[in-house]
Amino acid sequence: MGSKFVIADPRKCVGCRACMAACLVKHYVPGDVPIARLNVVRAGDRTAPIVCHHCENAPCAASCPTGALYIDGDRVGVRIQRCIGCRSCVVACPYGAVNVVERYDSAAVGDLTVGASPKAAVIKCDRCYDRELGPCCVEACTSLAIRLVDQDEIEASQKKRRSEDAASLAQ
Amino acid sequence: MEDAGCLFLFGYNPNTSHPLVARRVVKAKEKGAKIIVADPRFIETARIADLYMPLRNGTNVAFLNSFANTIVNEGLIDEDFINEHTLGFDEWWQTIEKYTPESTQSITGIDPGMMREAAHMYATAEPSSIICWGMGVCQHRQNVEAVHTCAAIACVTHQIGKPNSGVAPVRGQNNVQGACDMGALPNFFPGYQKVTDPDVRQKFADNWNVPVEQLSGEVGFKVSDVGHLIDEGKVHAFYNFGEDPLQTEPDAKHLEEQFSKLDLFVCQDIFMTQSCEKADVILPATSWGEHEGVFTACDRTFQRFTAAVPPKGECKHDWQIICELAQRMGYDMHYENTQEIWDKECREMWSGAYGATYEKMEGVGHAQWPCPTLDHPGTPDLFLNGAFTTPEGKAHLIAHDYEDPSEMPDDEYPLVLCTVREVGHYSCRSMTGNCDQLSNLAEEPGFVHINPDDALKRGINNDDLVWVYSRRGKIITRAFVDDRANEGAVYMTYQWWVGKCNDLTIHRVDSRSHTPEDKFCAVDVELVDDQTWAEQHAEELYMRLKQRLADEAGAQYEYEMDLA
Repeated sequence: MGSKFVIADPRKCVGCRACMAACLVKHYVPGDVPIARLNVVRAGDRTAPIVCHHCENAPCAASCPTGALYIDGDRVGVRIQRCIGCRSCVVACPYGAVNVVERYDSAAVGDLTVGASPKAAVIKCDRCYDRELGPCCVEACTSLAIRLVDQDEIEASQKKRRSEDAASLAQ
Repeated sequence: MEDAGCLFLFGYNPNTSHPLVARRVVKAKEKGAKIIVADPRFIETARIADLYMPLRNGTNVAFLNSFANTIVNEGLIDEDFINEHTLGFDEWWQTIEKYTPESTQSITGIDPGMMREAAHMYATAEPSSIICWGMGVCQHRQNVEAVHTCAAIACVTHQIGKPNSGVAPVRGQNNVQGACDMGALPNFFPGYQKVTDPDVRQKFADNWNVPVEQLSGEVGFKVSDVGHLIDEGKVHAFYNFGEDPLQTEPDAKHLEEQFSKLDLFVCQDIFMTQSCEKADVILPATSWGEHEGVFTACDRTFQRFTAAVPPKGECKHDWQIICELAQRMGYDMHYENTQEIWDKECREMWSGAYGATYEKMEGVGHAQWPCPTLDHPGTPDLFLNGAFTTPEGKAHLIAHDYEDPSEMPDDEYPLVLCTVREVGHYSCRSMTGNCDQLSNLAEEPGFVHINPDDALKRGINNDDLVWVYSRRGKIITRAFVDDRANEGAVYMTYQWWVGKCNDLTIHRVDSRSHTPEDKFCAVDVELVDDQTWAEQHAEELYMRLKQRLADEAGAQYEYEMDLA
């Protein structure tokens, strides 16, 4: 029980989408898909980025028949090449944080680029596991609304809420 | 701003136009400030506001008059401050008196009780209140009138002339403040020195070593009038730089016809824009990462910035292009670098900027004008203790009666179109639209934000392609069914090239500042019957435009290759 995930405080989020731009740029490399893994939702009185929770019993990974999504220690990992585009994960995710999109794969023969054919690719937050400084969205957030939370922090906030509740009962 | 007791955001949506200001609003809130938001649309800041006031589009002056009326009638004015530091209260009150919250409710849609609550919140906040406004005030027919009233409200409540208080009019673009400071206006030399003042003209003529007769004592034309002036035969040549008017000016289709009548059209830009495409001559300039200089923020802070990379190809800095043009016109204008320009043309000519040296602005240093001497710390607060800069040293209170916008909705065009900004794309999008990563975040043909009820009435679902049309034109764009948009109004950002809202907007300017009425015209929205055709059509329009611009830029490139 130790998965970490990115979470945003909707009271601090200013809806600027810097997180989305940072995420997109991080994935703007050959072999990857340049689409943001977070989606800033702005509707009614709610504004916040929606992103993968790296669930302990991840329904997306459980529903994946090829292991394109898999439990990798304390996170849900992505192996984009294994995706067959069945979208079971998209249906399974309760947050709408997983998406299947088109990926354009190309190969180079000398100076010639060949075979830019679209293939299905699953995309979702990989928590920037390959980035030393941690998730780039946390770094890019202009209002310090996005954080990486872990089990310790969740437990601490639980304790705080319990004691607040107890205090209100005592009144 | 963070230390004020109350922030009153009036016609200003910082989250899309200045996200870093939005962050300060959040911090102010965390420090305990009360937030009032008055905007027809439920903007981001409305979420964290203590009071959200959904006024009807175009009713600013009625709203502000009523707000001022409430302040007086609820006894929230500072009589000592009014007597000592302002002029014209009685006359001001003659107009304001008529606008009780009850009598204006039918115009603004604001409940009188809410108006009273807002007046108390603003006038009594400790230690101070700030009233912030943006284009939601400036781009209306009664813009200067609304600004007069905002300023009067700050004066009668003494929410001005003390720290963390006053009026905060933000600017629509980066460094608009700097352009105004440096005299890129038809009525001022640098430092707001009037062209109509003979002594000022003599001073500049001496500095520039030209006969004083060569400096016109008449106020020049404003850029928003160029189209009409071409029609009237008063303007024959137009030298346009750093702007794509065919994207950003109202009634763009008509402006394009007007441009075609010019004898000479010069564009100085960094990309092939729709305006450059029509130009006789294109002067290639440098981008923000390639040049250095000084920006002024809207709080009068000068900040120096430096180049990250050298200019590419035959591109030159704006100041170099201007110097070379001047030389070819027979005036020996020459500078070694931007520091020389800053010292000679700004610091020496404008006493308020004399202390703002390059050394002071080294690194992340800054200087806030007025900064008249070398050891002056700069001036964070203007008019401290009510010392206003009018000839009498007192603030003039000015009031105006409310008038309707120019083009009211009717049966044929029942919706109000209000142009707005979208975070992530800047202005005419020539820069951000040419950035691959950013165009991946949002694409043509852009969006029209429409209230769910208005959408339902027209059979429009989210993401459907729709026609939006006005008396000026008709464009295709995508519907964004948005419960934050109020009923009866639709919102479009002006950056989209296919879903170009400025093909629809009205070219009507106010009589004082000549600012276009971009926030109000009448339109209607209609679902495109054949959605498959519509998708293809929108894609085709975009591809064709991109190809046209690419061809134009390509021809230029080939010509240069031939010369080489």
